[in-house]
This record gives sequence, C-alpha cells and structure tokens, in this order.
Amino acid sequence: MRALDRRPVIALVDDDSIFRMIASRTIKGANITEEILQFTNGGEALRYLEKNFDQIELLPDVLFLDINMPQVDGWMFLDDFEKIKSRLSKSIKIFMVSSSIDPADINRAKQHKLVNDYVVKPVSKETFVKLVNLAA
Amino acid sequence: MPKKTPAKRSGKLDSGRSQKRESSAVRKGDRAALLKELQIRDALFSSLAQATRELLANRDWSAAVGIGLKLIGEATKVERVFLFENNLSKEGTLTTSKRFEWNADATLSDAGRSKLQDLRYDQMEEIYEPLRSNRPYFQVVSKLELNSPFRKIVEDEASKSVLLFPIFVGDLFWGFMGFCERRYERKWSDIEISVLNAYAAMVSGSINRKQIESRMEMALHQALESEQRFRTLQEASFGGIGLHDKGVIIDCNQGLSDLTGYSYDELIGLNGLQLIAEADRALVMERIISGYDKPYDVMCLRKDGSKFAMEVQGKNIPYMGKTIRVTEFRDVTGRKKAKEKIQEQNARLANVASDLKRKNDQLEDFAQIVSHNLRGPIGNILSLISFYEETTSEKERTEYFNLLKTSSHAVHDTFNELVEVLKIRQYTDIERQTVSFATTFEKVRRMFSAKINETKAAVTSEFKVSKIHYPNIYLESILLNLLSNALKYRRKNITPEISFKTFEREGYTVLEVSDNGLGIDLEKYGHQVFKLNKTFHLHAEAKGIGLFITKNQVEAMGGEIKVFSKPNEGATFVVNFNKNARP
Repeated sequence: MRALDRRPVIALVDDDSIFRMIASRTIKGANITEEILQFTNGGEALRYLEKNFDQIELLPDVLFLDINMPQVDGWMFLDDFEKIKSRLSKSIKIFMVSSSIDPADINRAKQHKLVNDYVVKPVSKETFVKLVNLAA
Repeated sequence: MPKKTPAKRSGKLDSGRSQKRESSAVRKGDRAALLKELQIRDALFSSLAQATRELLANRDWSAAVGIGLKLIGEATKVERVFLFENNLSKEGTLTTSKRFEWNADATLSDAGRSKLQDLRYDQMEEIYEPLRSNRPYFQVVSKLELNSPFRKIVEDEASKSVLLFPIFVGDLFWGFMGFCERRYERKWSDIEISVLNAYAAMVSGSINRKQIESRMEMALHQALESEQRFRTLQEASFGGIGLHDKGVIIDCNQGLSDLTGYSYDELIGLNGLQLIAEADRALVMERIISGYDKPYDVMCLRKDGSKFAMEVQGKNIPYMGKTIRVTEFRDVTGRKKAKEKIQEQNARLANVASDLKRKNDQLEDFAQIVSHNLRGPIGNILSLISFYEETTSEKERTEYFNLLKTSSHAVHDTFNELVEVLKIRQYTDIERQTVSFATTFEKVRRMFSAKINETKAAVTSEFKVSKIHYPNIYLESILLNLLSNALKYRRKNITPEISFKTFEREGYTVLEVSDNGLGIDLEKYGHQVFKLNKTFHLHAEAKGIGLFITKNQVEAMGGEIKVFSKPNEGATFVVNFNKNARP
C-alpha cells in the first residue's frame, strides 16, 4: 500500500440524497478526504467524467456507485463507462454500493471486471477507510 | 436304409435251410390227431379273430396289442410273443426296440428281460435282409453263426428258436413281431405261421390306421387351432373387422357387433355405409371405390343412432375369384379423449408455469422493494441515529432529526404501497361491478382538470366497448394512473395529445392509452417500466408508483398490460382485460 501523494477525490453516485449526505459526512469524519463529488444518477456522473477526462485533479480516484437509480442505473453506467474508460487520464476504482442483498446483484457486481467490490448499505466509517485504502 | 419295394408277403419262411411245412399228423392220417389239429386250428382262428377284434374295437391301441399278443401266444402255446418298433438313432442308423412282450411264464416278464432297446440292424444282418424285404424270418439258434451278435442276443434271452414277421406301415419298415421258444427247437406249422402272419398284418394295419388317425387328429386339431387363433385374433383386436363386397357385409367379427350394436346376423347382408354417419358416407364410398388403404377417421353410427369417432382402414383382397374389401374399424373415442386430456393437462401445466413465472416475478418485485425501498431508508435511519448521537451540535441534531423524519416517512410510504399491492394481489375475488368506461373516465378527467387546463392537453376518448365487469376502484385507479402518467411525461413546447380507446380484439376487451409525450427508451428501460419506484425521467413529479400499482391491479384480475414506445415519440399503454371480465 502506497500512501497517496495527496488526498483522494471520491465520487458518490446515488439518487438517495440522504445517503449521499451520510456517506459524505462519514468520509469527511474519517478524515479520508474533503474532495467529494456527488451525482444523482449514472448519466450525470458520466457527463462529468467525459467533460473532465483530461483534468486529472478533477477526476475521482474512487467511485461509489449505487445500483438502483432513475434513468441511468448502476449497470448502465458501467456499460457506458467502459467505452470512455481508456480516454480518462486517471484510473478510477469503482465500488458498487447498494441496499440490495439480492444474490443476483451481488454476484453480478463481484463478477464485473470494472467493479472492485460490492458493499451493502449502510456503509460504516471503517468500511469507507478500508475501501479507499484498498484503492490506493 | 435302402428303400426297396417290399416283397409280397408270401408266408414263405426264410432261413438257412428249407423247412418242412407239412404236418406230421396229417400225413399219418390219424383221426384223433386230425381232430386235435382241427381243434388247435379252431383255437388259433378264434384267438386271431379275438385279437383282431381288439385291434379294431379297442380305442386303446396299446391295450389292444397287449391283449392280442397274449391271445396269440396262448393259442400257439409259444413261450414269448413280442413286438419291436424301429427307429433311427441319432447317428442315422436303423435300430429297433422292444415295445410289447407277452410271456407264458409270468416270472420271465420282468424288467431285466425287457431291455432290448436300440438294437442296431447293422449288427443283425441275419434278420435285417429278410425283414426289410417284407419276408418272415425263422431260425433255430443252434444254426446261427457262433459269433454273431444276434445269436448272442437270442441266447441271452435263452431262446432256442425264433420266428419274426416284419411289420410294414405303408412302404415303411415299421418293426417286427416275434415269437420265441426256449424249451425246444420248435418247428412251426403252416397254420401257425398263417395265423401269426395274419396277426402281424393286422397289427401293421392297425398301426397304419392309428397313424392316419393321429395325423388326421393333428390336422383337425391344427385346423381347429388355426381357426381358434384366427377368431381369437379377430376378437382380441380392439375393433371390428368386416368383409364386404361393394359395401355389403359378407362376414364380420364380434368386435363389429360390439362397436355398432347390431347383432352378427343383422350385420351380414347389411350395407356397410349404414354404419357410417351420413356426413362421412360420400368420403367412405369414394375411398372404397378408389381402393384407398390408409387409415382415416370417420364418424360412425350405431344401431341406436348414436355417433362415435372411429378410425377405419380398408384393403382390397382377392376372395373366391373376385375382389372384396376387408375393413377394420377402430374405436378412437378413447384415443381422442386421451389426446384431449393430454392437451387439457398441457394447458393446465402451461397455466401453472405462467402462474409460477408471474409469482416469481412478483417475488422479485418484492425482493427489490424490500431491498431498495425499505432497506435503503432503514440503513439511512441507522446512520442518522448514530450521527445524532455522536454530535453535540444542536444545529446538526436538528438537521439529523429532520432527515430522520424524511427517512421514516419514506419507509412508511413504501410500506403502505407494499401493503396496497399485497392487498391487490391477495383479493383477486374483489367484487366486480358492471362499470361504464365513459362514466369512470369522466370522473378521472375531472380530477385532473386543472392540470389539463394548465397544459392545454387534448384528451380524447372513444369507448367502442362501453362497459366492463370489473372492480370499480381498480378501473378508476388504472385510468387515473395512465392519465396522470401521460400528462406527467409530456414533451416541452408540444401540446399533449392523449387518447383513451376501448375495443374488442380476439374476444378480449382492450384499453389503449396513447400520448405524444417523452416516451420511454424501452431498449434500456423496458424491463423496469412497471417496477416500483422506477422513474425514467429526472422529473420532479416522478414517483414511480402508479404503473406498478396499475400492473398489479390488471394482473390480479387476469389481464395484462404492455407498453409500446419510442423516446420523444410518445407511448402507448395497452391493457388487455381478461375475457372473464366482460359483462
């Protein structure tokens, strides 16, 4: 594990504003980073990534992705992310975060080549720390 | 064995030397001796007559032969009388075996003496040559060649002289009858020889008759058996068989009687077309004429006028110089019923399968509802509580408290929706009323009048099917959700056009709701359209419950709902009400 030269940028992609607020405060409370991007669905996140594909400081290091979202859900985001991935100036670690305990979702996420791991909500401070460190 | 035409039975003895045949008593002219000779002759003839009668009258041939041998033996005062039957050994050599024996001395007729089985003629040249040429054989043992196997056999029997008469059955050398004397080297009188020869001939005739009888019996038996087999086969066939000449029945089996209810006598001479339902007669006639020989189905007519499904198959066959037709009738009612039953069961299985699939889909819906719509907010509540506890800032506490309220309401709402849907699914026997589409639609339209005015939407309706037997509240809810949906997802700067139509398609009542709104990218969202809390638009009013409830209501009543849409071209929802719901 290599210490990051600087604080990581973290993206939260979730339609649940309360969850985003909770996650954001947990991450900040754990002193992981202050740089937290928030998107209400996959489409919004993708547009941001495409727009800032060459802005290394603006791109997230870690992306927490919800599954169930209106419009572009987690799976659709992964499909589109694959297409733009190579153009991004930063390699982004993706964790799927969902309240779903459906084995179909869990297996699909764990088997997805773009997904580093699957985490069930709610996510504790310790889990956030562990995941961000894993991604480093 | 070389086949030879048997020589005419002459009574002439064949032996190593010539034999004196004249009786010494006759030569002497002695009256007393002559009288005795006559008495003996009489006794011999009466014995022969009696033995012959046995052969003719006694049904038990073996018993008759046994009695005959005894009678002849006693009359000739000979020591032993026997009957040998020839047979071919496995190696193909002709052998002979003793079948019957009579002994003057009862103590001699024990098993030990009765062996003499499978004696080979090729080791008894002395007797073979004369016997198979149908000539009798006489010999005194002392004159036999010393080392001959035949002499040994005879000596073993302690005989001093033997007299053998061949028995021919037809052209076949069947065996021989023999007489043995062990007390002295007996000479045989002409009369004795004649009587014995005559009896041998009688036995031969009886064997011949016996064989013919048994062959006849066998032939008769075979004929009966064959007839029986044929009958059994006919009766065992599952249907009827009829022979007919241009439709007129010549013969038939019991099966045809059983099938049609006509007796055998009624069927004979009947025109077979009378067994066919009128509608099928032309077809059957055409097939008789054309000699069609494949099976086909027809409706048949019983004597009592009832009809039943039958498979018939006819074939032209030559019969006594002309061509007649044999037709088999098979009752296929059972087969048809079985087929129908299988189809019925298949349909039921298909129903069960689709029902299971529906239930499975519903379970998935619930799993998703529970995991997303309930577990999500509950997770938030747990996190918020710990935030609340950890902070000392009153401002933050107020914020967390408000968020807790929001989350609790979300759980509460989802829970209520879930209960609502469960109710819909559970109460499929909810009371149905005859409901007017126009009336219900008008009520719903009024509820949205403000929104319709605001959006200047053109809402039209055409109810070709005017009424439906349906739960009033469900129909209201369905129309409400579809109208609300259409108004909600309108396109900016385009006047909403929304049409409601009902019509009948394939016996089902169909409701079609079309709009010119945003539409849905079905390729992306098709699988999610009717799920709870699925919204496909970033729209303030999108809550995603309406279509989920609508789908549940429609399906609970045995119908189905589908959507056809393209993004930016509008959407069409088609509700296919269950046909049972029609008034």
